[in-house]
Amino acid sequence: MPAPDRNLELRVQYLEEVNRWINQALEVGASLNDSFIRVGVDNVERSIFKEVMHELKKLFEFEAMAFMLVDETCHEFVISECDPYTENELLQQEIDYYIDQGIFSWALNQSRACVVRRSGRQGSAVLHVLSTRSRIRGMFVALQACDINDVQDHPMNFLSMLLLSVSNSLSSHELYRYVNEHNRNLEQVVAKRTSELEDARMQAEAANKAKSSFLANMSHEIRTPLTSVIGYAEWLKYDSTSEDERREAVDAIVRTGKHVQSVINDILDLSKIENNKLTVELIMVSLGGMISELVRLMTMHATDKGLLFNLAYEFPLPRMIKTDPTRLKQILINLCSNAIKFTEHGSVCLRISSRPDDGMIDFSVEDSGIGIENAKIDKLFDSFTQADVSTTRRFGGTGLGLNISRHLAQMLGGDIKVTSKPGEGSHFVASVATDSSVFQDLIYEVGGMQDSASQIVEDINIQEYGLQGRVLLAEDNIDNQRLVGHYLKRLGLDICVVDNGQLAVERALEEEFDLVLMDMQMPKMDGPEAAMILRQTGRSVPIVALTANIGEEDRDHCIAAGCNDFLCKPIDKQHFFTVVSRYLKKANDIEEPLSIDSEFDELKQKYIELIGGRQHEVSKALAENDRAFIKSSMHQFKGSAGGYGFPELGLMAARIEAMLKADINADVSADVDSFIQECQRIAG
Amino acid sequence: MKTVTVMIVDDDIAARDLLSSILRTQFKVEIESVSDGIEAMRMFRQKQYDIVWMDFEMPGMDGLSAIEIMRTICPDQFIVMVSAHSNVDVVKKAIGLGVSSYIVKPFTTGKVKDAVDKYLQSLSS
Repeated sequence: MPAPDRNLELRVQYLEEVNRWINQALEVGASLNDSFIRVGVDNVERSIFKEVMHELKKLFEFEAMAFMLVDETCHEFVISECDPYTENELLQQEIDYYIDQGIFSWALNQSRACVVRRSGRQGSAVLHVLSTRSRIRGMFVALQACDINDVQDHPMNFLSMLLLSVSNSLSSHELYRYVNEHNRNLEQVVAKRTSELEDARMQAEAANKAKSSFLANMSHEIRTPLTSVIGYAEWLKYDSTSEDERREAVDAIVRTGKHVQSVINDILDLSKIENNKLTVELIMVSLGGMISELVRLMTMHATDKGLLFNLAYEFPLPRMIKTDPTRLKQILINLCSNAIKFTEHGSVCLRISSRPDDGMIDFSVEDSGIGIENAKIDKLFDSFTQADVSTTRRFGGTGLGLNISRHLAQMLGGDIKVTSKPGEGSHFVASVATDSSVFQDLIYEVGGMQDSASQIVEDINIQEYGLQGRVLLAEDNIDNQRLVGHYLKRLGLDICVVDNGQLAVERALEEEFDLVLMDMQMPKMDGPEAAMILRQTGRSVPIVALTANIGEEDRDHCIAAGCNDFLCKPIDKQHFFTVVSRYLKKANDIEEPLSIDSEFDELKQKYIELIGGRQHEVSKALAENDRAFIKSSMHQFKGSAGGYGFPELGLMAARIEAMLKADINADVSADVDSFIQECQRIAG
Repeated sequence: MKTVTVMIVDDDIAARDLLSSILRTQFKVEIESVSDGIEAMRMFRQKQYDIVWMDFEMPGMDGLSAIEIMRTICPDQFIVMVSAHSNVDVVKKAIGLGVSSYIVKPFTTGKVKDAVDKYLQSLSS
């Protein structure tokens, strides 16, 4: 046993050694601190590991050491950096051994340095997890020569502290990377948004510009004919204008008026298309009938210009097709009119063919006109543009027709295609879809087309005269009253006309109608209010609104008020017939004669007896001047006589009651006399 | 078809008979008739009716007052107002009292049918 002073000496020596070591360790710690916070370096983990290992070598006598990280793709620990790098294989062998023995996973769960025996050889190994509070990031492994029993505590504690700093530093670098990445993403998003906004702004500007130029065109298009309307109309005022000149003026006014109307129709159609408000109504129509109508019209236009208009059928063709005839006609009129408009010499040909396999009908319009350059064909269908602004001035038109036609063709399940050569002419093909069933009834020669054409004319005639019922027309505008009244009469209907909503309510409550046509803007009470009151009073009569407003809001307003349907002004005759016939019976549907109820007969007989008895009481009251009795009797007759089939008696009673109501002492004797006479006539 | 219970309030016996006969031919109904508003109120307090047909002008209590009182007893009562007037102001007043239907005399099958149909529809919806 050594002497106590020797012990003391050894102890002092040991403490000095520890002290020196700790001082050195503190220096290492301080110098490493800088590298922990270094940023912006590629592969910052590895550079940290390198520096840490470099410093650790000053403090520890490690033979080899390695930092391992969790590989995100295969979720395994792999060596990220080792020192010396030549010992990679040895380290990996050792690590595999620890993993096999379960030592590695045990060490992962210890938040301290774990000193273990090395595989088979002398010396020991230090395993230390790299973890922050949130998760495990990796493992530090070091091999040393010293025996497991000779490992001291304080270096291991220092190692723990240092590796905790390493972990935290890894974590902050990771966060730093996230933030950076996020910022970069944000910048990208902002850049993308900005460019999108810029695109949208440019589109809006382009659209705005197009609208402005369109408006300029439009006002020119509308003003020009209006000038001649006004001019001719003024001319009519002068006495000096001859009869021939007057006729000419009126013709010109009608012609230009129609032109203005077509311009406005185009604008309205386009606005409906743009707002997705345009609807198509598919019905079965005779192909031949529709075409022959169109050909009549177009031949007239073509002949006026000295052109030939040819029609060619490519048989077989279906006798009937299912489509919206109004819209299809609109497309074909547009294509044919364009062809005629842009052709100076030669001919325009309308060719009709079918593709039964696709269920399509093709209408091809070929002209020998000015043609269109290839580059301009695409722009043909844009709103507001003709191939060239100068053509607008030369050939007139709104430049909307083709755009509208293409939309309509698409709504009818097809499209419009163009081929053209400047100077040689253009070729437009409008295709529309039809029901495949129509191909079962085919026509093989021109005669068949003409037969079905004459048939359709007849159908229209029947349609025009073929309805029955009573219609209440509420309309304050006298011209519309006349026009709608005329249409209704042509349909064979009984009509009653009132000029405001209040009267409409009163008439509809008093009498029975099969249909009410109600203008929406009327004095005293407007259409929606009148419709609403009729619904609130329980009348179920169909109400069709007449309105000049085509917006969806107006439409919803009508329907919400209780209208069943609506018609837009100006009224299209064909559409008017279609809508009205929806609500009324056909004239040839002969109604079952009303079964005369025996109970009603009995009641009527009783009522006649009552009249017989009551007339005596009334004449007695007249003699006794019992005016209160007369008044109350009249009130009763007024209410009931009509219902039993004696409307005149009811009216007489109402008149007497009204007179007495105004003045109980009024002279009613003459009226009461004729009332009694009527009673006697009824009672027989 | 559902049997509809009906109370007809009208001072004119001929009008009551006519209405009853139209109702009977068109629907399956049980009808009770009274000739004035006060009597109607007495019946109304005792029994429930699907439809009340109320004449507008009657001696004693008039139709509008009777409806006003009925509303306090049974706010949802289906009431058909019957009147010789088609005047819009009267009609609006009746609608304001919540009548479900307003019929202007003379009765016709169509008008009566409209009113009962509205009642039957109100059941199904």
